[in-house]
Amino acid sequence: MSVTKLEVILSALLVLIVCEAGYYLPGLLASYVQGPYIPPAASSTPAKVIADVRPTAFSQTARVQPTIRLTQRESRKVEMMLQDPTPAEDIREEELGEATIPLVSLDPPDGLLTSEEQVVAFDMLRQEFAESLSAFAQDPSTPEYRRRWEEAQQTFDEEFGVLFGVEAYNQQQNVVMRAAMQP
Amino acid sequence: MKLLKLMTGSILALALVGAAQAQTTMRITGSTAFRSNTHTAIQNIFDAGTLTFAYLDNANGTATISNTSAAIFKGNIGGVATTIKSHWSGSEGGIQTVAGAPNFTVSYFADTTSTLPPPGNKLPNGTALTDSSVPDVAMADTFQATSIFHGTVNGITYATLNKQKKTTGLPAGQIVGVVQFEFVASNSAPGGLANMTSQNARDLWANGHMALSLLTGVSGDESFTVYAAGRDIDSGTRLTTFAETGLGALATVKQYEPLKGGVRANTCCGALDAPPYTLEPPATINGITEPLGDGGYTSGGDLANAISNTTSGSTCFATYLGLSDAGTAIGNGAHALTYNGIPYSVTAVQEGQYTFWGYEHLFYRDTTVAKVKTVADKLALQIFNTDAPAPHYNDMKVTRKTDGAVVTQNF
Repeated sequence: MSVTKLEVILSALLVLIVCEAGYYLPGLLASYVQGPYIPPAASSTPAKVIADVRPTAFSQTARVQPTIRLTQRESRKVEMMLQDPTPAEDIREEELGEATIPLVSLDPPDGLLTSEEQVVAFDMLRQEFAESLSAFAQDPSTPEYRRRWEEAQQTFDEEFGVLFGVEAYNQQQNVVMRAAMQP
Repeated sequence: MKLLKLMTGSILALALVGAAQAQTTMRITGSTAFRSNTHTAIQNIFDAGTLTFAYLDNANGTATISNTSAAIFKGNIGGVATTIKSHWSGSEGGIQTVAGAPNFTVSYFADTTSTLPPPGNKLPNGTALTDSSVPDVAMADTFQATSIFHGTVNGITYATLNKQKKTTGLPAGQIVGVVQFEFVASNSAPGGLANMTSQNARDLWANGHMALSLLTGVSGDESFTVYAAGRDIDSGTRLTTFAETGLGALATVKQYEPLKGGVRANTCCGALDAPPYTLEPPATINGITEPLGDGGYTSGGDLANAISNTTSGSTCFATYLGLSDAGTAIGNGAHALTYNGIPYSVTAVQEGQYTFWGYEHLFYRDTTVAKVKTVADKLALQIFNTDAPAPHYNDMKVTRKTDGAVVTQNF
């Protein structure tokens, strides 16, 4: 099958148009490529990870009310992620640590956040945690998703300690541990 | 004839507009801890033989182009007529005013300020900075994620800086160098006060004062009191200190105001007013409230001067300073403290033993116009490759994910 010059030129033009559209309308392309947010699928893996125990998320109230509340969608996103970040069955335990509940996913105890700036920062952290995973959430059963979860959890836990201090970090860890131990 | 005049006038006007457009002006603000290195780098990016500058003197009359709080540089960069104006507000102030554009302005020297070739034109302390403009570039001791100013705060939405536009050749996060800090005690502090632990710092800045015995382990020091002094919330040095010591970057703290002759001390080498000391008064900075005790110095240079004074009545002050200001204070009689038992040294930072450091960043908005971005990028690379203090980023044997985070090996 021979290709005429005209066909080559037309093909090149088409590629150019697609590239241009991708450049000027990145949102359109991204939404097409990434697809909508998909919550983590239920895992067939037995409950090996702490996060398999469903936490009592968002049941507590901070002393200072946040000036920015997470949208229902964002809250739901974190909640759904918490329910089961478990990877596929073929993941080797020695390769991936235990998935744990991120500190930012649970409301801190009364009095832990003492200024409005701290409350705003906490809400931002929670939102950013959700956003950092949403792009990889098409298939929560993949090792890649599990790896991203662990990376994000470590990063945001550390950020929590940096922003709110060692004592707040310890207190919030207790909150997470208590939530994880609930039946 | 009339038509000819009109045409000549129009051409002249167009030529002037063209010349004005060819002129690039970049306004920079932010980290006082890094101002010395930044000023050096600014001087080094101008075409040889074209640079003239002016800078503001301090209350002591001892300012140099390295430690001045405001300056204006004029000359050519890559053949283009360029003016760079600096006024250092603190890292947090820098992030706030650059990311919060157009809601905030910073005051700079007027375009018409008289400049001279090196060593420049030193203008008297108190010279008015009459150009109030939105800054283009922020030097910051912290990541924007650690700053108060990201997301929406007090109804103002802060842009994520360098989200899309970045300086090619810099590490992620627009890192240009390693910014280092020291704890320093005032001029007359007892010799036994030689070290600050993270625990000590958490105690001192949470409560505002503590017995010297907690720092020395000597029971005889129980009746001697160490008072906390420090920077206001615009400071990245403050934020890094509280992140590093585990107090929390966003902690509300208690700091005392060193007075001299009844007013905030900003000159060195004398005696502070006798105790009792008072907590920093409540203040509001760019819409953010500092309750009683939470405020502090706007300038690291002024704090360095204040800590270089003597105290009386079994008391002394302790504070945190960027390396350059700490050097000034120590040179004027203040005492350098080791941190967690480790004395500051380039090697101790480089190898990870001394952890009181962070990364310096050069931030700008994604919407920054191309000609300003060109100058900002050139400055960023000049700092990164040459004028950042030792150890340079690429010489570090350790790394940390964010401000105050665990220091780990990178090899």
